[in-house]
Amino acid sequence: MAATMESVSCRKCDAQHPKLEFIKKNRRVCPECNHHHFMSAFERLELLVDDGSFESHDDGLFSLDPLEFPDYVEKLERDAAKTGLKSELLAGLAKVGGHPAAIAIGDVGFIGGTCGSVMGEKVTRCIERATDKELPLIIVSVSGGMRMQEGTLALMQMAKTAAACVKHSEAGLFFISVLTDPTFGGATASFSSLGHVIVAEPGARIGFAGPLAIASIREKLPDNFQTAEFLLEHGLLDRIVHRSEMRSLLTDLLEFSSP
Amino acid sequence: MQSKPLSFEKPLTELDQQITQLRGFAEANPELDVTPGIEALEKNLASLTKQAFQKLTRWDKVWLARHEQRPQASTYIRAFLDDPFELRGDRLHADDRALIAGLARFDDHSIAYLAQQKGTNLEERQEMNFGYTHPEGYRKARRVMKLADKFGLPLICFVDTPGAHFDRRSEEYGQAMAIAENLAEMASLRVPIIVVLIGEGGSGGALAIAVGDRVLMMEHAVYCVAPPEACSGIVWKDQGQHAPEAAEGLKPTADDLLKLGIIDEIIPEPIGGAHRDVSLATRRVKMAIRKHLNALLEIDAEQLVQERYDRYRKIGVYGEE
Repeated sequence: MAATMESVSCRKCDAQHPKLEFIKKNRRVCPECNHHHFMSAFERLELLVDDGSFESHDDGLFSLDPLEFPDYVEKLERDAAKTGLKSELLAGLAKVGGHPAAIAIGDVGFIGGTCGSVMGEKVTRCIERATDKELPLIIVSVSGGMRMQEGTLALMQMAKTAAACVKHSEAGLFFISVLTDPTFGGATASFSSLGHVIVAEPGARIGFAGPLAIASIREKLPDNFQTAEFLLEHGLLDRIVHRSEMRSLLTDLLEFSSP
Repeated sequence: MQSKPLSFEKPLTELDQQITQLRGFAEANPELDVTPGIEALEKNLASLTKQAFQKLTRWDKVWLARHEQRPQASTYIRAFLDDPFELRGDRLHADDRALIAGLARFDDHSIAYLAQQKGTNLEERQEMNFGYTHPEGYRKARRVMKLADKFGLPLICFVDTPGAHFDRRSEEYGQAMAIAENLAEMASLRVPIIVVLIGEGGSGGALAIAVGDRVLMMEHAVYCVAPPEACSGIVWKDQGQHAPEAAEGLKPTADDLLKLGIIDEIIPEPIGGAHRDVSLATRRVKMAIRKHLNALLEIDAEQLVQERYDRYRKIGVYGEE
């Protein structure tokens, strides 16, 4: 069978879709049930920023194994080969709807998008660059939380990125936080929650405690527990935005902060 | 195979009991001189303790940090904070007993304090949720941080929690956001912040009151990104069976964290742990706080905030091509 005829099935409703159309036209959103599937940082970049406007920064950063944690080096090598990335995050400068902004986009394929020293450093540099150049900041989060294999060093990235957010905000600059599936743990408990405006994709799983911790809870949980819809209901989110409308929403929001 | 938690302490406790018994016997029989016997046992105990503590694994240390007789924040507060006035409630909906806050005097200074507590008996432990802090605890902490900033009060934080509480309600009330906002708040406070890790430093639940100008750590406290049991579940996909390996990998001890530049100073504990000589332990913590507070009070607010930023800015280990 020809590659163009290859089909993919929706993870949620199982509907079959031609692969190319599903990726290029539908942007990995199921036209049947609206389920937003994972997308890579590169795909998301193409979705959100003006063509040819992205200037990548700090892409030479890579993770080390400072704690000599079991199997960590092997996992890093495996995911670098899989994603074509050196780390779990793309960061740089770009234009969105003509507005210049600093932008960072996570990639869940890289050790679950967990945040270690590299993500902390790249996010911090991205925020500092925005502060220096007096630019608004967009961070598209996708994260399985803090990276176990970097221990307390990973934990400290929460304090580091949050402090950078404060400086950016105190400079009178605008920060839009976009939460995508999944965003958990230390990311949610630091920079991802410090946006002046926080939006999320439909159905995105967002929360503090990870699935293992939640599995140990012996209480009835609502069906939409730890989803974008749950956060909106509890006043923790400004809006749920369909993937296809994200760029125009960011453009509209950036208008507010333009001089 | 992993040993039972705190099994290294058993022979020491037994010897300790023998000494106590012999002392009782000596009191009851003043005509008999058992002093040489007691002295020999005490010497034996001291050398056995020293030996046992030299061989502690990181997993042993995790259990030592959780020791139920370990002095808690309330012990330190009673020992060296004068006229404490507790501030209660987050001014939104609740008061968390797992994290207390207030105003007090330390030496000649008015200060604000934040303290996590686990409780010392079952009733207290239930009231304090075994030290798992709720969103309202973090929001109360933030309220007191703002107060400290407004009135120029140095902030002293005693950290001791297995982690931030997790359940339906905590997610509904924005546990993650409560923590994130504290990290931001502490980054901007224009007063000295001294953090003392006294027991368990459980992940973001600890960090939410642990961003400081000086982070001090008791010799046998631990501080990590997740409890080793949870880390075992996440990395090895098991029910916690790899917790000892996880504890080794996480490098959560005071020695580890001093090397990594995450803490500034280790406060040595009495031989056998802080619970073996509480008054010595509290004196040492007091001296350490005094030393650092006096130094920090010399620094003007702007420089303090910048130095705090730089302190966290440089934490992280990575390569760059």
